[in-house]
This record gives sequence, C-alpha cells and structure tokens, in this order.
Amino acid sequence: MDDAELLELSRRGDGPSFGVLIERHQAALYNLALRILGDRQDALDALQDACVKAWRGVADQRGGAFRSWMSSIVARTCIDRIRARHPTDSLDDEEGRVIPLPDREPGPEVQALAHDRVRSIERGLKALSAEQRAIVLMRDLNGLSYEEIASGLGVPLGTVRSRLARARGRLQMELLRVDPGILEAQA
Amino acid sequence: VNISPHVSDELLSAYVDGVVAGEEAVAAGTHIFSCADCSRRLELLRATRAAVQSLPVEALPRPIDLAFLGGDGAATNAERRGFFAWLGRRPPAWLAPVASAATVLALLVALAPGIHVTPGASTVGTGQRQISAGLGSGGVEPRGALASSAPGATSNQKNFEQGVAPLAAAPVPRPYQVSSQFPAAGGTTLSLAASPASARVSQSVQLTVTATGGDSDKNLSSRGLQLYARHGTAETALGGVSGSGETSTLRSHEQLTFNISWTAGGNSGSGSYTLIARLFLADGSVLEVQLAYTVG
Repeated sequence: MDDAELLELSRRGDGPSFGVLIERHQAALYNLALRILGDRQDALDALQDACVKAWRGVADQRGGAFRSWMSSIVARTCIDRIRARHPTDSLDDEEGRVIPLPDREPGPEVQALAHDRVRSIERGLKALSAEQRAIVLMRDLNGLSYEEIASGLGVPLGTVRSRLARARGRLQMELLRVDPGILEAQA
Repeated sequence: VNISPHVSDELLSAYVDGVVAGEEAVAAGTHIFSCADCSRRLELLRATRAAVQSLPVEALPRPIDLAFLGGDGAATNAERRGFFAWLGRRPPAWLAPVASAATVLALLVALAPGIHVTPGASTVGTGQRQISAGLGSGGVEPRGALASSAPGATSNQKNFEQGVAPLAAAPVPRPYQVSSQFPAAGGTTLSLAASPASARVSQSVQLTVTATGGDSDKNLSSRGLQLYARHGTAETALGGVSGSGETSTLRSHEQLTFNISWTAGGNSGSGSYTLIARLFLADGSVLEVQLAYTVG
C-alpha cells in the first residue's frame, strides 16, 4: 500500500495505517530532527512529539505527500524546542541569532564515514540559526520543494527562496572557514 | 532579463535547485557560462548543497513509541500490513485439514530435505525458504554458530554484538501466529541458533540470528532485524538491529548476523519458550524463524 492510500486511511482514523507511515519514514524524519537540534535524545523526543501532533491533526491534512507534511511538523517542533530553550531569540530575525548546538560524540555511522568531514559539516550547520538550519535541511536533506517548505513553515514562496539563499551562503562561508577542503572535495 | 553585474545570491541558489524558469533561467545560464566569478560561485554553492546531502543517515536510538495511536495501532503496525495480513484471509485449501499453522510448520520442517535437526533439540520453525516452499535447504541447528544455508553467501558479512539484552520492552499484547504464506522474498533466508541447546533459569544463552540476502537487495524497514522471546502468550523484545544507516539494506547474498546474550527465563522463570527472530522488510512483509527453547 503506498503512502497516499495509508494517509487517506489515517485521515479516517486508522491508527495502524498511520503507524506504518511513521515506521516507513521515521529514519529520514529523525535525521532531520537530529541535524536541526544536534542531539540524539532531543531529536528522538522532538520526533515523538511531532508524531503525536501529526496524528491529532491528520484528519485535517489536505493533500501533499506524507513525508513532506511530516517533515514540516518535525522542523516546526524542533524550532519550537530551540525557541523554548532560548526565548529571547526572534524567529523573524532573518540573520538569525546563532543558538549554539551541543557537541556530541559521533555514532558508529559517523565514525565509519569520514569522521572529520562530517564533524566539519555539523560545525557549519551549527553556525546557522535554527530556522536557517531547518530550511536548508528540509530542502537539501529531505528534498522538500520550495512550495512544500513555504506551506509547511507558513511563509510566502519568495521568503523561502531568499532565506534558503542566505542560509546556504552562510553555511558556505562557515565551511570555507572551518575546512575549505570539504567544498573542493564536493565540487 | 538583465543580469548585471552578476547573478544575485538568491537567483544563483534557485538556479542550483532548478526552480528558475523562462527568460530568467536563460539569462542566468548565459551569464554564468560567460562569467568566471559566477561559475565559481555556482560550483561552491553546488558543493555546499552536496556537503549537506552527504551527511550519513543515523539510526534511531529506539523506534518511535506508537502507544498514542491507541490499542489497535500501538500493538501492531507494519506487521498488520504484511505478516499479519494473512490472518484476515481465508487459508488455502491445502491447509484446511490441518489444525493449526504451527502444526503445518512442524510438518514442513520434518518433510523438507536438507534440514538438520539436532537430536534432542526442539526446532519448530525455520527460515522463509523452507516455510513458504516447504522444500528448501538448510535449517536451524540450535547447538552452535550457524552457517547460512544460502549458496555463495560469503561476502560483506556484517556482525552486530550486543552484550546485555534490554528486557524493558513491553510484551506484545496479542500472541503472534506463524504464517505459512510469506510474501515472496526472493530467496532471502533467516536462521536462529541458541547455545547451549537448553538452559537453567538465569543462565546466559548466546543467540545468533543470521539473515542472508537472496537474489536481489532487500530494503529493511526501520525495525530491521529483531529478536523476541515468547512465554505463554507474552512476548518480550530482546533487542535487534535497526534497519537504517548501515543496515538499511540486506544485499544480495550478504549475511547480516546479530549476536545477543539472553538471560534464560528472564523474569518469567522456567518453562517452554519460543525464541523468535523477525526480519522486517520495507515492503511491509516479515520473515520469521522460531526456535523452541526449554528453560529448566
């Protein structure tokens, strides 16, 4: 059964169908949360919260792919959690005051896959504001379209385009600062 | 569209994503092609995007708790769609004379050539190939490390060790039943071995689960490879390997081996147990192997 069919059943209150959707996409959603929050336990808690919110709101979900819709909920949940920890920061601050993410020990996957490179990219992401991180990761990690991001974050399409450009520019600057070789290797 | 003096950051970012259209796209492309600075900026922007995309996928520390879905949804999810879907179906005619699926399974194991049942060991089930076809080769030898029955399964072996079984998982509220109608798994097999062949209460038992890829790569669901102990109608999760990151795919003719140390009896004491290994595939199907185990 594909996502659209399971989503339709979920809208009618079918819990097992919703459970299948969560299981099918939880790895991608968890990694989105992990890269926004920078902490595994935080990411798992945020994803759990997002799943509960999504289940409560699924009856009103109208159109769009489950993964995109759910990614937006996860991203908003993560931003809210960061906001709760740092209530003086403004989400509308386009330049985005940088909220420091905790350093963490790399997992076995990271150790196995070019540890230094991954840590440098993580450091680059840490230099972004929570909202900038979310928008870059929604686009480049989870592959959401501009329209899906705009709908998910409740901002105009043009705002997505400008914020994404600013976030990428900032990330690029940080990567060039911490490890210029990364971009050369990717080019 | 006039691009002067250079392509803006915003336009370049959108251009990288391929969301610029019409005259604007033509003008941007023409300028980038003829401008060394903008070509370099485009290259760096693509590299920045590629860096984010190259981040490794990490496995969830534990699956999402689906208790919020209520009793029906929390107890079962992927299994209901795949492995348990057959429960709602009428059994095939050839099953009709048989009292239970477990009996069928035992019969198939007994009849299948090439199955090695160690004398004294109580093997009640085996891998997908034997159960679905009834005529497969290989089987379960509960006394020691188990080599895969699949020919050529020697490359890319992955081993996962787990010293202590996490017994905190909630028992599954309804008893599992064994299906004799697995979806086609293309020769993928699953085996389970326990050493020693029986144990006293609290004795440490080494359990080894081996999944062997068949004719083609199989994507695993996030639940991956899991091991359970059933005692009466209660089933307890012993641990497993999450189906993400490194273990997201069981490749063709690859062995995925999971070792776990189980404290025999756990909190339930002595008696007859059924040890169960399940491999959860992304398409919703589940391969299962069972091993009867006596804790004295």
